[in-house]
Amino acid sequence: MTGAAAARSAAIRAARGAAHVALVTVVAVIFLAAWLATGATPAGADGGPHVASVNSGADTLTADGCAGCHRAHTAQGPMLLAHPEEEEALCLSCHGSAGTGATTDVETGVQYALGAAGIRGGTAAGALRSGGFVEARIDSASPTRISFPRIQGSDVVTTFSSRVGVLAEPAPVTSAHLALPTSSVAEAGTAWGNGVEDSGPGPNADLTCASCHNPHGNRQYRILNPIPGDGDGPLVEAGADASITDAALPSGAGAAGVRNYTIQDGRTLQDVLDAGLGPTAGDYWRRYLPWDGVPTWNGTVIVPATGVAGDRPMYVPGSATNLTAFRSQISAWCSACHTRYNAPNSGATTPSGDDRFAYRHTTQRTECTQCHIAHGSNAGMAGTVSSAAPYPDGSPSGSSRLLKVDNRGTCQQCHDPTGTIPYTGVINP
Amino acid sequence: MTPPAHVPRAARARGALLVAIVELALVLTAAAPLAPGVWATDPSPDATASGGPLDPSPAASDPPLAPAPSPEPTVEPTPAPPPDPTSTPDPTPTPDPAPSPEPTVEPTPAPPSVAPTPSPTPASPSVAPSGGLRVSHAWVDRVDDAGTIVTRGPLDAPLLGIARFEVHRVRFQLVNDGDTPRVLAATLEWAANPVVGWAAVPVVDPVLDVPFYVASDAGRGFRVAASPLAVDALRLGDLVGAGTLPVAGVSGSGVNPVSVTLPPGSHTEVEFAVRATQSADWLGAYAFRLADGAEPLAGAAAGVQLRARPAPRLSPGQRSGVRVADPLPRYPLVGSGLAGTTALNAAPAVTAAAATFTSPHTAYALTTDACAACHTTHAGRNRLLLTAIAPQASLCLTCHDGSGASTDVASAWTDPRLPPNDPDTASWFSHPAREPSGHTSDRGEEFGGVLERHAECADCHQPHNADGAPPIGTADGWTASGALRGAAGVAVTNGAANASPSYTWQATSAFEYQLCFKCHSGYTDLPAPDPLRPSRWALDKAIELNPANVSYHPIEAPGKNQSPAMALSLSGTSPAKLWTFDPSSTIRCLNCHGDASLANPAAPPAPDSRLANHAGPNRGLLIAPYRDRILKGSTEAYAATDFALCYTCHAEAPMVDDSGDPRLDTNFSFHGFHLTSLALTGTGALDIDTDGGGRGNALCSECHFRTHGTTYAVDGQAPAVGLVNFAPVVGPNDGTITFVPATPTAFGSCTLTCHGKPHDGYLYARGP
Repeated sequence: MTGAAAARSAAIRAARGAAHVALVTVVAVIFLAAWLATGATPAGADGGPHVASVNSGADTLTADGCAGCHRAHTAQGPMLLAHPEEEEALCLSCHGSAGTGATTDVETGVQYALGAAGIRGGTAAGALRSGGFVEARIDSASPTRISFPRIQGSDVVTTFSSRVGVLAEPAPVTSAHLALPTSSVAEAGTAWGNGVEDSGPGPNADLTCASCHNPHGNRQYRILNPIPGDGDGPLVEAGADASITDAALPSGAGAAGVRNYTIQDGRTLQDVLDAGLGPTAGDYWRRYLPWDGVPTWNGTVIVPATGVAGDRPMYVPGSATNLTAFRSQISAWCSACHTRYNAPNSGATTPSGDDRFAYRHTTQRTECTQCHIAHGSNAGMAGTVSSAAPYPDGSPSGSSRLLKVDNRGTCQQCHDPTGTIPYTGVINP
Repeated sequence: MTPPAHVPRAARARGALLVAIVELALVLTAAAPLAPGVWATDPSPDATASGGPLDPSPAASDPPLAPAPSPEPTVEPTPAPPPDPTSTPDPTPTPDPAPSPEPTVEPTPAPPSVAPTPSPTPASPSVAPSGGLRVSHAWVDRVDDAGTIVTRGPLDAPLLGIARFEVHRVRFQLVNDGDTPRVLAATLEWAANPVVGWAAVPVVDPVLDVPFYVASDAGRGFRVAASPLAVDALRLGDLVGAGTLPVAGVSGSGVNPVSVTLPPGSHTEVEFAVRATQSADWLGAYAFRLADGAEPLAGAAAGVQLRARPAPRLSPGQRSGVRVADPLPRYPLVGSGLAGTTALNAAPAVTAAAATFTSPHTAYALTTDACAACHTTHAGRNRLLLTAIAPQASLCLTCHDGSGASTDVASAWTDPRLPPNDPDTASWFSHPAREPSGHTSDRGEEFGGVLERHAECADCHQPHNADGAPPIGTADGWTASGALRGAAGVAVTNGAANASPSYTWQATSAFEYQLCFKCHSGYTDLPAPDPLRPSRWALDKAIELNPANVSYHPIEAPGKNQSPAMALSLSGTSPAKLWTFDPSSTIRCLNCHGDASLANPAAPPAPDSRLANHAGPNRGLLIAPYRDRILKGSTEAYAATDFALCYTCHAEAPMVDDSGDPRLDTNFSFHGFHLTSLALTGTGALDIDTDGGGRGNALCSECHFRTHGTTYAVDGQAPAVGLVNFAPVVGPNDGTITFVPATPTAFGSCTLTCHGKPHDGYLYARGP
């Protein structure tokens, strides 16, 4: 991270903290009161006020979370929202870099440990998978690749695994789904690919947090809206739900009851903390878990490394079926807005029928979140081509497109078109 | 039988020149007893036994019709000194081709295995008196290419300065001043040394080691016939002082003897069309006399002397090529790459390097910028997420048009001088990379058994692997250059000669030719041949280039012609010379089918340079012009540019040496004769695919029709060495069309009919 970037990040944090002192105080009091009143799991346990089972009264008719955001008679914002500012400001009051109501900081891309009061603690547990809208911690300039032999038919071929690590210090994002006032990104605001066939590059869309997330909880993965949208905006919304199966909430106490949103492996926040790897551990790429598992030779054949192939987004150990379903579901969800991006495995070789989005990378075998993060990326695009790569409407842009690696290194994390990955391992039957 | 004293090689020509001329003069001036003042043969046994009775001073008795003979030839025997074959001609343009760079060519003694066949009449003791019949005058006329007499020869004097392969008319005036009619079998005899012996001149076809034959050349009006020679066509119709009447004579072509009838008190003329052969020595002097059957007639004799050996008329701008390094040996790998320890280790992790954009075709860093140069993830306009619509060239040429890449490929197609491809005539000037095709993936196998082949950029270039590495010449062929690195191809496992090899798809071409085989071999479904146009057939190049074949161009292995002559041919100069291989070399497909814009003999490209044959002005995407379909017209002169392709490697000198003399830089001494001296030799069509065609100087392709290899020789010809296989225009002679190569100790021969000229086992010699 550059000095200027660090200074800007510090300023962001300072400004955010100053602006929300009162709000933080109010929220903290509310959370604390609720926790004390119920004597149940800390309010900061996974979901906070967004857990459907809690807020809907399914578990209890004494729902408490409503007051976190709404006021029945003293609302300062529409929909009885307590906060008078932009919707994002309300969310960031908990999920901001200065917020303490949630373990997840979506401004600077980090998940914290659970504090003693059951809300955000002061220890950074790890880098947030989706990054932050203002800063992110993707070590995009230094991906790492490791090669090893693999049996392919009767041949021994070279294959590889890649890792994209974590920055010790956050870096300003170069692309984000929200252009927050404190962010330096200026996105085109276009929902690329949204709409029906041959309907142009896509409409402009003004997104908010609620465009994607349902703050009331909906049992969806990451409380994502089954039909994301921009309200009355020009975005062509999906006609059917894009559901993503969610895993059950962890039921443990403290951090054991909080989901792990970092890039480290583990189902709960407690898993991450127990691993003790530190906040810079983990892998943004998550193609193989562990990423550097080395196959072995058993005297007859090559034995793949022990581990799980894939992202394990909901941490269901050993469940490849779940991974397969997740890939399809998350791609379908992203495609609820980026309609014409959703492509079958033959998408790169079979024309879609759309003149502009004729050939498309598969979103089935490789889900969108394999290459992109959801909130913001700090990947650099200084390359001659990447710094002015055209958008689907032909306009050049140096946006990092929420990619995980600088320039088009994202491609190199799976592809090796030059066949230059070195393999120095020796196999001797 | 003892041959005449003709020693048919220039080695003794120079030394014997003076003797021969003097002897000829003696013969031509020996007619004094029969016709005072007229050069004549002397039937007296005494005359030829010692030569003493012959009067060497005919001038005192010359008749009025007889011009004074010249006892000395006017052509000085000054053959050009043979140049040093090891010398390197000046590679700079030279407008004056006078200095001949041809290698030293020493006449080769006649191979001992074939002896001359004529049966000469012994010298003068057999000459008998002929009563009232005698030869009163003799001379040799010059004729043009149509057979018309253009210059009357000097009466009773030798015609000087004739050349090999020219036709002349040898004419005699016969006088019968006796009392009885005479019917004689007028036989033309020749002698190099009349003192030693005479022999009948053979007919129709040349005979090895005999310097003349009575020519039949239909193309020049010399049909095999003995035609009447009208009285008014007699040169000497009014015989001064003889008191005889002229009667019609005989003009013979391809016939010897001819029948002549002379009533009492008559005179007439008899002529023969005579052609000097390869065995006629330069500056050699020869005599002709007339005999009645085997009995020589008394009287005058005719004589000729050949000119000095002409220097090959090399085209301007002789150049040396760029030396090609000796091919690398290829050793089989020892052991297996998997041998070693039992450990299984992963490679060290690779850490991303700093992202800098250089070429999108080199090894990519882990933060490469290159992908986006050609691909877009979600809005691809072409297969494989390419940013531009099909064909691939629309994308590649956005950089390779001189604007973004160091190589300007687009200009090859956009050159307005580029002729369009013409499938109807199988005339291809460009690979159809800019045309839509069924191409799907360069990694896929899209060519096996496929007729509708395509040549999109990625069919030959793997964009992720290409680099600028040069190809390397090896004994197994030239490796694929960096530009072709990673491109798929077809390997072959060759079997017997002319047999189809075993084809194997290769994801990566190891050798340059393997890439070409992807489309130009039987691995694919080649276009059906037009039975009437063999010159247009798309043939299986893998079969043609099989090193087991009798002859082939050395793509997969060095050629079979390892002779010194081939070495000299390859090291010699030419006006189109580009590079200098040697017989151990293998060559690239691109050496012939390459970028014509680079074929500058003044600055020849390196043999391993980029010679991409995307498009060019020469049919077949040839690197230099090559005329192979339309034959030469009747009077069309030889032009080196017609065969510039051949001259990119081979020396020109043997191709313009029309002497017929064996040379050190060719194994066929008649290359030059066929390429430069066949004007007006026929009346046939000008299409190489038409049987019996041809009327002028030959093309290389008439005798080297299939130039890749001899497999697909037409008309059932047996494959021959030296890539000799005759074009459809060449027909059989009496049902046979064969080429027998000469060896250093044995003659070669041709049996065929070309340009209307039957070759009945024509023999030729070669150098060592």
